[in-house]
Amino acid sequence: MSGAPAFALTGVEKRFPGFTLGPLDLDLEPGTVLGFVGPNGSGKSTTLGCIAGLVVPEAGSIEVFGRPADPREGTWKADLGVVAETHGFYLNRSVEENLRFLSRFLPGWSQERARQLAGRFALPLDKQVRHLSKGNVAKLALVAALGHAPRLLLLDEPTAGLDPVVRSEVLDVLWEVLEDGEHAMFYSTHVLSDISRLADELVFLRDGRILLRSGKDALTDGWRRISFRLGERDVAVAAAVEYRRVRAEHQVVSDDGEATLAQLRELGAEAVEQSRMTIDEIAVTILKGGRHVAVG
Amino acid sequence: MWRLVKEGLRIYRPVLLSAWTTGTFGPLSVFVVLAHFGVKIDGWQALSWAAAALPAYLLGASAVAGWITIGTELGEHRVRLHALLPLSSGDLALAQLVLPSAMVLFGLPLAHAAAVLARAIHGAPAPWLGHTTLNLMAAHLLLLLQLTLAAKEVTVLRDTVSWKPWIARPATGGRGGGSESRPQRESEPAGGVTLAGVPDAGRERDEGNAGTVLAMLGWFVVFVLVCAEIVLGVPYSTLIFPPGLRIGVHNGNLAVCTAATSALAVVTAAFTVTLFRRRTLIDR
Repeated sequence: MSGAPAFALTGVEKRFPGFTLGPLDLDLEPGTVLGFVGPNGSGKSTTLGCIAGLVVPEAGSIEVFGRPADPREGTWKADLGVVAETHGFYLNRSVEENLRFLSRFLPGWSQERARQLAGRFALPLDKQVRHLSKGNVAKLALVAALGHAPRLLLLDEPTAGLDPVVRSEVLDVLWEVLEDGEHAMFYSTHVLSDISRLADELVFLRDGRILLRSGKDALTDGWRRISFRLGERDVAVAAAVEYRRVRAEHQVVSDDGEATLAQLRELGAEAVEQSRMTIDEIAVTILKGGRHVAVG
Repeated sequence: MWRLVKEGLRIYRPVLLSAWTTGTFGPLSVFVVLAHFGVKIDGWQALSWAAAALPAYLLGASAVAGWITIGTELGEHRVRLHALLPLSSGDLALAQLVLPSAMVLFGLPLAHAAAVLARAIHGAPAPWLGHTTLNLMAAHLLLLLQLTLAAKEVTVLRDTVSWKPWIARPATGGRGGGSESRPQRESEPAGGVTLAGVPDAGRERDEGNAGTVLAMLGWFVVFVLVCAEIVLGVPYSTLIFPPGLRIGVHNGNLAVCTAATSALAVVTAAFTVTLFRRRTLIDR
């Protein structure tokens, strides 16, 4: 179905003992990359599992390209390429045999494309999966997810445990995949450096709830660390997410730097200094539970 | 589903072949040694006795291959791979059951052929080598495989079952993951259950407790099936032991017993499929 979002979660809720995910409302447009950021145990993998049909939610509905993601009817999964934390490959079979296995089930699978990707990753096709290094298994998972050119990629920490060189290779390949602008990607991670390069939008998740959804550029443009001097009393600063004061020295983290600076000008603040924040710093502030964080 | 089974059989073919080889030549080599020393068993030459038992060895080896397959699939988290394929949850569940069962079924004609061969060698059939007996043994082995899979499913049930829509289905008419499901109402307790037809029964339970209850229920069902297997099966399943060691009561009708055992295997399989289709496939 053209024009439909790559996926749409509506009121999705999943409960485990001691943890509840959601209710989540989340969607992703084709051609965009959504970075799904949260600490360990925040529900990232469960959310991805819900979209991939690995987790049956207690409530809510899930659609993938306009079709209900109903586990009772599996054809909608043909549009998905998934890299999960655990892969389930045939360990006693070679890389090539595992890829051939997938080719028999996934429409649009191109063994040629899979071979090219494997070559790009220097993945030994004739080696048993049991004897692959952790990095090579991650590469195999990525090749397996990309072999049928899926329209939606669901990646659950695909670079976890990889050395910097392999991590860079993986990100390069993902970057190339995205070049045609037709793929949607849901990239779940707690390593922000990975997605700061790829993501168009970021969603921050904590304790099963979405704290914030924002465009990456809007975040980096809007968020500022601002210091100023203005009397020895607390000030209600516009758009402040964090606020600290030592005597007359004030420090603010603002999610709308322009609004904060305008207010400070009106208040006659002195020695105003501002600096941009990195995605990492913004994420840490949000996930630590900064005040006034608006849910987007 | 059949494609998945076919692929599975292709992948596990070496396991089946090596099980047949080991299960056949292993015991035979022992009896060759015994025959060399002139040992007799129940008045039979040891080698003749072994040849007569060959069908049973083949069936047993097939079942062992089935168990190896179940264990390997579990140990390698195969369901994670299969669940990403464009197949329905019902197909995935059935493929899990059919793959090890197919190994026993492949062993059955081989066992029959071996029985015919043994009969030709001995001139007259031994009473425990009849074709109906072999069918019954195969039915038992199939049931035991299904019980293994049911027990596995019950074990994973506790932590991963998506129990609420299962229990509440008659009341809500929907389930999670589909467009027909309903959002949770504000009035429902966090982590609570609304048991269909039992007002407020769920308020005192959290999900873990409900999972435990369901797991216990599952174990009870498996226990009942095992009991039924014992009542129906022991008189015949002991036939795989040497003649003379038969225990239990012989009810006299192998065909009826085979049919009953097969029916139990089908019931067990249905139970397993039902659980599999309701559960979440990954841990949190």
